[in-house]
Order: sequence, then structure tokens, then C-alpha cells
Amino acid sequence: MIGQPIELASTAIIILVRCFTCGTIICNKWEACLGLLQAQYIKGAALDALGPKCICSHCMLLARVHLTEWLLNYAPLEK
Amino acid sequence: MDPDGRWRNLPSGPTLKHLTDPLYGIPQEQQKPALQELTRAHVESFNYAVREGLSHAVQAIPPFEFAFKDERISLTIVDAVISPPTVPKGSICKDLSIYPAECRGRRSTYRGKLTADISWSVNGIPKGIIKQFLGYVPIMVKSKLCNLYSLPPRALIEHHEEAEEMGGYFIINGIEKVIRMLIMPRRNFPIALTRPKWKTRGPGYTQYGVSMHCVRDEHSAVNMNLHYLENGTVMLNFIYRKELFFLPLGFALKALVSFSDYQIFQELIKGKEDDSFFRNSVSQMLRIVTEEGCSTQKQVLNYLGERFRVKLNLPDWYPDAQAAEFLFNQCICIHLKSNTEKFYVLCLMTRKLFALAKGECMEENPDSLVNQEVLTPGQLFLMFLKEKMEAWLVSIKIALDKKAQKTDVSINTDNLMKIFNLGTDLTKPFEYLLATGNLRSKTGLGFLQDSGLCVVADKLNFIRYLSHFRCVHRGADFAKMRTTTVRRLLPESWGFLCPVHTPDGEPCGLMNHLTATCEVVTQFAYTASVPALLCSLGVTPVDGALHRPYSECYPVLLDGVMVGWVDKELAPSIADSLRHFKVLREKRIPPWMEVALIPMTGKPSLYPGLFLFTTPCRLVRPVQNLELGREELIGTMEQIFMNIAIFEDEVFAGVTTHQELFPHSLLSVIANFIPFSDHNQSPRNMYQCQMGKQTMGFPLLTYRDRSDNKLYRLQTPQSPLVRPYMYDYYDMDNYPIGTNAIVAVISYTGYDMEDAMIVNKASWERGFAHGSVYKSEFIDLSEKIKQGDDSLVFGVKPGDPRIVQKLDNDGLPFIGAQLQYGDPYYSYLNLNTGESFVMYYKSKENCIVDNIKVCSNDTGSGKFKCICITMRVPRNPTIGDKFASRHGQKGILSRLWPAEDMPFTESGMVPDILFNPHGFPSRMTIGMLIESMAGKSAALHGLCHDATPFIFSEENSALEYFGEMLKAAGYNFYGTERLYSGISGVELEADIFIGVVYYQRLRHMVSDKFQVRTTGARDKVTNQPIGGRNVQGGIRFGEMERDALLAHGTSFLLHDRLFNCSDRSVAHVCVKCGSLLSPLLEKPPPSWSAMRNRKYNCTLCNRTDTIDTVSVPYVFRYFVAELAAMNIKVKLDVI
Repeated sequence: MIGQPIELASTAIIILVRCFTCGTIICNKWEACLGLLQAQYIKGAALDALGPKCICSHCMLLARVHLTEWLLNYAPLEK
Repeated sequence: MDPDGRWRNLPSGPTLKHLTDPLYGIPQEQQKPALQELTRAHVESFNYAVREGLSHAVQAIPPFEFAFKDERISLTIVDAVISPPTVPKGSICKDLSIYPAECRGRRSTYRGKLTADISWSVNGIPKGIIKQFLGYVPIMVKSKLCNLYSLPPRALIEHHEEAEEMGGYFIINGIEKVIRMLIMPRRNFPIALTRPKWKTRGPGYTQYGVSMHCVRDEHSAVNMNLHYLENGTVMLNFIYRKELFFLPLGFALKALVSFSDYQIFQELIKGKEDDSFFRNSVSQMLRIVTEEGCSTQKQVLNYLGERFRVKLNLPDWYPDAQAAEFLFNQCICIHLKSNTEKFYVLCLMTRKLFALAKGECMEENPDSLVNQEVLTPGQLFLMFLKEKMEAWLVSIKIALDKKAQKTDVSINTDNLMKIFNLGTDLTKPFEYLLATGNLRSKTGLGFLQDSGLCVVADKLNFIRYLSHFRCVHRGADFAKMRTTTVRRLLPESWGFLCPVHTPDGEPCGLMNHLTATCEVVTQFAYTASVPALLCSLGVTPVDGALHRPYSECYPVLLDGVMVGWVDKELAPSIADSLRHFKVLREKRIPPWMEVALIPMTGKPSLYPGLFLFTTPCRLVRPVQNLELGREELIGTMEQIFMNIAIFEDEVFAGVTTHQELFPHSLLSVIANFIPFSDHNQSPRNMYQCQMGKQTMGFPLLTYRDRSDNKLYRLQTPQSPLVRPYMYDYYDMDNYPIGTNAIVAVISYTGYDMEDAMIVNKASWERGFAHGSVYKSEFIDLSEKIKQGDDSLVFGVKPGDPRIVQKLDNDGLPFIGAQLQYGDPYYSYLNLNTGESFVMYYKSKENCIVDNIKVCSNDTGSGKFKCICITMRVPRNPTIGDKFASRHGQKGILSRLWPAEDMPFTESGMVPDILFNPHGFPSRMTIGMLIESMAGKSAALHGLCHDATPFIFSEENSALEYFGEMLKAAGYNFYGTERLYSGISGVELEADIFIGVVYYQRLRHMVSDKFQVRTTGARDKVTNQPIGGRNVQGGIRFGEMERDALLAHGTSFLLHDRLFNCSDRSVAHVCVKCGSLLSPLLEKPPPSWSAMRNRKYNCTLCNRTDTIDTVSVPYVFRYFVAELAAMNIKVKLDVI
């Protein structure tokens, strides 16, 4: 694939794999969580329904800042 | 400037927009106005300076006239233009314009060309205009001259800038420099002062004076004082070229106008016609002038010109009268154009002075914001530019004279152009000013200080960065003052300066920050129509006839021009209608006009009058005008006479005219970011304002393009779940500065004593609060060459054994390579000799090569000899690193505690941080407790809470609100939980307060601070261990430490520390004469001799048997030698 631009999905995100505090795997919950958030449906119960039930993992999902989305604007593959 | 609307559509509360907004991460069409607003005072003042200001300044530079070979040559700068930054034509590049990112990356200066049109004439006959390049001047980023001006975010990103770049700074040698805003006396307003020091100015002087800081349109300023003398006369005092001059007021008045003495007398005694003392004093002043033989204006001018011309450096052919006029133009009321206006203002000042001296009016406080304005960066830039252009004209004369000494020069265009090129370049002085902040100036520009004018805008984190642009400094001179009056927080500064955001300690109260809503006026207004408007409203012009006695009228001043008089009863309604026009923008009244009616009270109060200001550099802020239902910009002087409510229930009909936009309008941008700051003890909020600025965060998105010496970065920053809505208003989520941590308030293990905190080791292992430091090193091989030889380039000698596989063929380390002490760092070749040189990595700290930039020169023709290596040093939290919550609660990480030994909740959750409960009672940071509960409930309910101050109260308490929320989620109302001991598994007796708190990691890290030494370098002279962390030195064991050991009687330890481990040495001494210097080693015996033992011989006694050895500190031997050099003998009694 050398020389060809790599297509990056617009939803390219980098999220932590595990919750800092309790070690629950949260990376696989992320997209579902985002869907719920964007549907304005997010309530505590919904977060719980996704899996992680502790406040620490809720924090990880809610407070994540996706700076990568901004950083991708800076054309990291530009030569 | 649009006073309406900016604060209208505030977000109602914080949202999870950074997650839910589908547009997040996509550059918008336009930049957010909120952030741009922060640097507006900087950018717009600069815009004014380089356009209108520059042309005003050029006009204000008087033609430079001098005699050259019996010819009168006159040089005038007709026009000057600064061009946007470009590289010279013919450079190797696609685009000639330079963008700031390049200057930052390459450590060059972002500057534009200054070209001037200089017209020259000989004996008054114009000979033509020459276009001349005067030098490069630095250009402010995002100003009109900057190539980034008005670019949308996407284009900014293409030019390697932040999407929300706000500009407002200069780039000097790659470093971002901000010109500080300084407090200045309010321009063109007479301030009544009493200074006991003035009594020493001469015989008869008193402490009373009226001072005026006169500023012209192009910002050149002169201070002018009127002094009251004991005999009732007045002295006018001004400064010209840093020299103080005194002039009796009568002379100045008579020189300004051709009025008769009686007219002048009438003008001066207005309002105090019946005061016989005052009448006598005035006539006395006028009599002095006549006694000197000056009865007409002409005579006075001649008289003054004759005396002053020595100091004015004017050409000989100027008549005396013209010299005097020059003096009045340059020094007296320079903000006014006509002499009649100057006359009326001087008369007003005199009346004010007499009122002050007679105790009829109060002195004004020069430390109060009422009588102050700020120095904007554009203003300093323009003043400096003007002075340097004047200096350039002088340098032309010097160059011409020099050349004329050697050869015979005739004045023609060609020769003049050659001479012009010899003039002093403006590039150096400008770069010096901005790089060092020191002002090198002949006139001093009317400032009190000449250093500390510029500061580096470090991007440690975004909060610190933006606070540089909101900072207002009182001036360096006040820092040395013993008295604390200047530092006092005065009620007048409400709403303009933040009471919270000032550092504690030395600069406390001197360095202040503007509130979030405060603005600095940067525009000039067209005011020519205002006097006519005032007259139509009922103001009598100065030369008109009043129907009422003057004592019952207010003088009306517009920007320091005496407009007229207005009836006492009529004045309030005029002020009201002016305010009406101002708010509704009618009759060409600018919205930033200040209408201050200082009323007559019948008691000694502030000198009454109707004072109108439209001048720039004043501080203004928006408040709601209740009558008109619109936002209104109010100034510092009018605010003290207004009734402004904060909450709705404080509005009293007929009394309250205005209301604050929101209750937290008294806070600065940074103080606004503190959650629940109204629940904290006030000094804690001050500490947080300081600590927020020392936090490691994510300061910028363009790490790749920057060459800063040191940049910090937090690896996994988060957005706080509890935050004031101002955090969202300024979009701080793009530059987050901390992490949400689960904090249990518990005393556990003892490792959390005295502000220490324990961190869960498992969280740490998963990356909690991890960070890195980016260090850049700029390597320019041309600096390594001693003379002109240009033959060094990067590269490796094939097969060099020193660098096997460690360096690439270009002589640079591989990107991503780990470097440790002693590894090859880079290598370069001398092309002439073929020699190769290898430099080694000299830091003890391991790092990873992050990025290497290859740089060239302006034209792009440089060789491969200039690079910038960026190294990333991982800085994960270690014991001794500093953390803080957002409530001034800092603590040191004392232990990474294993998760299995940490206390856990019923659900099995283990907190990230253990915080000692003893941190709360004395500090009273209730805001942190509320934040903890709010954070917990936010996480439970999937919300983010608004933590804006003043939304909760006694009736509607925060505890109630968040407690109920916690209860609804099935948690304890008070935010506590049952915890189990991690060691025994036993349930803890007390309920433990546990919740979510946003924690910041501060930049103070042990890795930068630890200092150890076993053995190492010693001082050459004293042989004692050297100090200094970077040289592996020791820490001084000083007198007080020595006293402690003495007091303890630990003499062995004392001897060991201060002698054995320091500079113990064995010296030879002659027992008989007691000298340390005389014993010398004998000459070596001849090679055939059997004697191998060389002896010491005392050169004084000439004996060898009296020599003994003693242990003495080496520094003592040095001391003995130094005393000997002073011809003092030291004799030791050796027993």
C-alpha cells in the first residue's frame, strides 16, 4: 500500500482499553455509548446497561477527550 | 466593537458536546469569537499602530533640519509602510510569504519590512522623495500585517497553526513574546495629587499639585505637573528628554494666547470671583511676567525661546519665538492642537489646584483604577517606532558628517541614497526590545520603567498561555516600593480586575488580570461633532456668556479639551441623554464613550465636572442598562457614580440603573474555571489560579511543528465532569489539563500525612496521569566554526566505529531511537579536512528521539548544517511528583500503593487517590467536597454538572441538590460509602467520603529536581565540593546547619561533614616560625645520588628538622596565601 493514501474513517478514535481505576475493559463499549449519547438518550441506566456499572468506568467514557480527531486534521501522513 | 450580543448567547450549562457533537474535530468556517476576544486588545492596538498610528506618527515627527556646508538641509519622513513578512525575492520557495509556524520551527523572527518615503530639501527648496528601507520590524501574529490575518480554521491548520489561533504575540528567534499591558495614568485628565516629596523641589513648594498625562493620537506622551507654591503662585513642570523643567504658570499662559492680562485674570478666577486671596495670587502671577519685561505674547515667546533653546537642539536659524513654540508643541498639553485650547485646560488645572490647596476638593488616588488606563502593546510599538525613526534621521546627519570628513560629498539624490543606507538599522533595536523586554531609549517614552516590558508566552498549558494576554502589571518600580498601598484591592476595580487572580507573594496586587468581560478600548472615535451636540444640549462654550455664576456650573471636558460650562441643574440630564445616545448609538456617539459626571456635593469631594472620554486604552466592561434594555460599556470613572445591581432582587426602582450581566462578572477567565469557587475560602481560589497555570496539560495540537525548549504533555487528558459553563464557553475541552480521579477522603497507611497523597498502583500502571516532556535542541554547525570557514555539514564517516548502527547516514539519530547517557547523538564532517566529529548525548535522563527538523536560512540556500532535534522524555508519575485538585489543594505523591492493599468499596471499587481528611478543616475548601459529590452523581447519571459560582445558595443548597441525585442513584445522600480495609478486609468503622474529583498534574517533578552527590567535582580555588544540580554538585551545608550540629554537641559529625568530607588537606608547616608558606620541597637530588627521600625545607629558618604536617582545610591555605598577598603574616602555633 506504499504511496497510496490510507483512508481514515471519520470516526477514527483512540480510546483507552481499560478503565484506570477498576481495569474494566471499556474500549468495546465505546461505540455503543457514543450512539446512546448522540441519541440524547444517555442516562445512568443506559450506561449501566452497556456493561460497566462503576462510576470510574462511567467517568472514562464520559470524560474522554478525542484530541486525535483534531490531530488528524494536521495531515500526519503528509510528506 | 459590538457591545451587544457577545454575552447574550451564553451556554446554559456545560454539555457533553465533545462527545455528542458530530462536528467535533472538524474545523469550522469561522473561529470561535470567545477566544479571539481574549487577545483583541493586543491585536487591534497593533493594527491601529501599523496603519493609522504609523501615518500619525510620521506626521508628528518634526522635519529634521541641519546645516551642512552653509546649506540648510531638511529631511522629512513623508510616509512609512510596513509590509507583511516575506522572504527576499529569488529565494527557493513556492510562496514568498512567511508563516509564523516556520519562524517558530526555525527559531527566526517573524518580521516585516519597514520602508519610508523621505523627502529632502535644501534651503527650503524641495528636491524630491527617496524610498528607503529602514529595517525589519517584528509583526504581531494575526494582526492585519500577518499572513494569517482572517484565515479560517482550515487554512490555519494547513499553515500548521492551531485551529483557534488567537495571535497577539510576536515571534522573536522562535520564542513567542507578549508585550505586557501596563497601568498608566489616565490620559488627558487632570489628577489632583498631594506628594510630600514635592516639598523638596525648591523653596516655597508645597505637596499640592495637579498632574496630567498628555497623550497624542499617535500615543506619544508627556507628563505635565502644576505645583502650588506657598505664596499662592503656580509652577508648571514638565520633562523634556529626561530633564525636568519648571516654568512659572504666568509665562506659559501669556505665551499661549494673546489675551490681555485682564482676560487671563478673568478666566483663572472663574467660579471663585469673591476669593480675595485667590485674586491676589493670580494677579501676583501675572505681575511676575510683567516684571521680567514681557507684556505681550511676542515678548514672552522671545523670552522663553532665548532661555530654552540651549536644551532644544534646534538649528541656529530658528528665531527665539519659534523655539518657544516648538517647546509648547512638544511639552505642554501635547494632546491639544490649538494654543487657545491649551490655555483653557491650563486654567482649569490651575483652578483645580487652588481648590485642592485650599481644601475645597479632595485629592485623587493615583493607585485607583478610576485614574488609570493601560498601555497596550500597539501603543508601545508605535512609540518605539516613532522614536527610532527620529533617531534614524539623526543618524543620517552623523553619517553625512563622517563621510564629509573623509571625502568631498555633494548633496544629490545618489549620494543621499548611499548615505541613507549608512543610517542605523531599526531591526536590532526592535528585536532587542522584544527579546529582552528592556527599553533602550533616549526619552524613556514617558515610562517609569525600562525593563520587563515583554514576557515569554509559554505554552505550558493553555490556561497559562491565555493568562499572559489578560495580565495587567502595575509597573516594575512599584515592586520595590516598601508601602503596600499600591497593592491594595480597591472597590473601584470591581468588574475590571479580578480580585482572585493575582499571585501571592512578591508580585501580589501588582500583577492583576482583567476580568473575563473587561475590554480595552482600541479604537479612536470621531469626536468633532460632539462639542456641537453638547452645545445643542445646553452647554455654554468656553468663550460664551453664562447666565449663572461659574461657581454653580460644571466645567465640561471632552478627552482633555475644555468644551464649556453647564448649569448645575442641567448637567444630570445632559449626562443621561449622552448615555442614551451612547447605548442606542445615535448622534455619532461611540459606544465606548465614558460619561462621568462628578457632582458638586458642597463638601470637599472629588473636583466636580462633566468628564467625557472616548480615548483608547481605557478599560471598559459591559453591563445591562435596565432603562434601555441594552448592554452598555462602562468605564472605570463612571462606574463609581452608577448604581449597578447584581441580582434581580437588588434592583430598586429609580435608584438602580444598571445590572451585571451575570453574578460572576467580577472574575477573570481563569478564576471562572474554578468549580464552586463561591464555596471555597478565598485564598484557596487564589492558589488555584496560580496552580492552574503550572499544570501539565495538552497545550497545543502542533507538537510536530514546534521547537520550544520544553513542552509538557499529559498523555490521557480528560474533560472535567463538573465544570462551570465558562469552561465550555472558552472551549477548553480542546486543551484539557487534567484527569477525573476517584478520590477517597481517608487517612490510611500514614503515607498521606501533611498533604501527601497515595495513588493506586494499578491505576498508575494503566496510565493514570502519565505524561511526557518534549525537549528540543537547536544545533547550528555554523556556530561551531571559529572563522568564516563554511565547511561543516552533518554526516558520518563510513565505518566510523564510534557510531555503529546508532546514527543514520545523515549523521542524525533515528526517529524513535532511545537515547541514554553516552550514546552518539549526532555527527558532522568537515568537508575540507574530511575529519568527522561525534557528539554524545549528555543528559542523564533517557529519552526517545521524537522528531528532527532540518532548517535552512531565509533564502533557502543554506547547507545541511542546522537542525532541531525534539526528544520526548517519558514522565510517568513517580514518588515526589506534585498533583492538585482545582481548589488550591496540592499534594505530593508519596507512595504508589498496590491495589490489593488499598481500601475498597462494597461494589469492589478501589479509589485512585487517597486524600487525607486533615486537609479540609483548616482550608475550608467546601467546593472540593461539593465537586466530589457532583462528580460522582454526574458519573452515575451520565451527565456533566454546572459548577458556576453563585448558582447555589443557603436556600437552594448544593448539598441538597447533589445529595438527592446521589440518593436517586442508590448512593448515600452525603456522598459517603462503606469501605473495607485493604489489608485485613475488615469493614472500616467510619463512612468514607468518596467521589470524583478532577485532578491536575503540576509541572514540578522530582526528575527535574532531585540532587545527589557522593564524590564529584570540586572547586578549583577552595577545593570544596561545588554546588549546582546540573554539575552533580552538593547542597550547601550552611551556617545554620552548622549551628544545629554545634548545639547538639555532635562534634564528630560536624568534623566529618565540614572537614573530612569537604576540603581536608595535609599541609607542611614549620614548627619554629609557624609558617604554612615557607616549607618547600628540596630540589631533586642528582640522579647518581643514593638519597631518594626529598625533604621539606623551611625557607625562612633554613632548616629541615622543624617541618611537621598538619591537616587543615584547603581553603585555609588559600586564605593564608591571600593574606600574604596583603602583606599579613599568619603564624601557626604547632604544639
